[in-house]
Amino acid sequence: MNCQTIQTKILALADPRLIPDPLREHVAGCRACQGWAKQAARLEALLEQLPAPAAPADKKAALVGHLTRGEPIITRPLAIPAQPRESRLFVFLRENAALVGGLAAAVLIAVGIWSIIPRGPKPEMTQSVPDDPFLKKMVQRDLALAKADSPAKRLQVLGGMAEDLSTQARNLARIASSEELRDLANWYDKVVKDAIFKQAETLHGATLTPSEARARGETLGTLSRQLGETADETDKLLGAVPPEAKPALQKIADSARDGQKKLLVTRELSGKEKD
Amino acid sequence: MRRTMLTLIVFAALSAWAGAQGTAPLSAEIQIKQFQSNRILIENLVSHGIELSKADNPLQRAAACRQTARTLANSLENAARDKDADRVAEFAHLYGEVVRDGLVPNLEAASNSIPAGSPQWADLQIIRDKAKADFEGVHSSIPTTGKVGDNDKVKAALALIEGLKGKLEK
Repeated sequence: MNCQTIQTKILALADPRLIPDPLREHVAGCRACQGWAKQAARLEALLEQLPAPAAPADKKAALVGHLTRGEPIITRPLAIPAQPRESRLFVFLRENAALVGGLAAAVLIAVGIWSIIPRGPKPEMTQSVPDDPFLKKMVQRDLALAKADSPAKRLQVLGGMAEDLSTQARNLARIASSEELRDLANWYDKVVKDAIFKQAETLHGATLTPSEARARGETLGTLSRQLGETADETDKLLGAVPPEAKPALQKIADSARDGQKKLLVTRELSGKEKD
Repeated sequence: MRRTMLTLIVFAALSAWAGAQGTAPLSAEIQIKQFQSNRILIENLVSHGIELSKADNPLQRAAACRQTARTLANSLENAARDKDADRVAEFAHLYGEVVRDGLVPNLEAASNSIPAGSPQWADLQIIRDKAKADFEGVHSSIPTTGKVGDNDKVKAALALIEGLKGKLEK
């Protein structure tokens, strides 16, 4: 028999002060059970001193039997009766309210900062990329050329396209590579020499009414001024860009000046033809 | 407690303010990235523009417009392969504009001015057939599901493309 069984049997005795021999042997050699027996005996003695009449022995036995039915209800000697308790987490939170509150606030602040600091794109949450306005301009120029049904209209559109290219070159002069700028300069040169010159020559040989001839003169004059302005603006920028950007910008300025001269000559020749 | 609430309110106000800032001009970094991404495409557009300036009849202009549209279609198909919703939408819009405002009007003008059965008429049919094949390719390359297909900009671009169905027929 173990201590738990012995102590249950002691409790079940009608008078714990009278321990039977089979139990006495164990109690004599076990300090815990001795303590238990003493407490049970003291309890019995105190109960006797109560003014109420002592309960009949069979009632007490019935009560004890009821209490000890199934698993023993006393598992530890002199155990403190269990009280309903708050969970340890709740107790911890209550005792450290200031610390926990501070930590929660710190986490919220960190999340706030994290959400407003720009970060690199993530595969699943890539920031929306804006459309390229320069690409759109080039498409619009092509569309305008697709609709232009006269050399004068084509010249106007081509002048706009050349202007777009030179503006882009100036905008990117400080950040683009020399190869990228060289491409822009080549495209500009191509537009001026392969397209604007060609259209101007078409105008030159055409048979025109006086009003058409006047319009032609105005178109050529406007375009030559525009090319001159491009050359001036690009020249001004030459002193303020990295050395590797200068050759491309210089090429744009040179192409613009050549174009300006050529258009002025065409305009003069056209004027003479008209006279 | 009051301090925590105040901090949260300040952060909420800052976030709202940051979100309310309108579209800012493109930074130099974005401009150069866009240029680098579209460099070859722009080179082609400049060349097509020069070709268009040399075209002096609707048939030639239709041929040049079809080249421009083909160039944009190639970029669109690449963007769709890369699952880049923004670029799919951007190229689809540009392609749609070129077809609607450049290719279709010039094909119509050419149809009205070229006698049926002439060598030019045959050329016109070839351009039209190629344009239709390009269009079908573009339409089928735009995803309708997944990350790209669910993008609102792509949906709008697809609606534009679908609105052009049948415009390339005779």
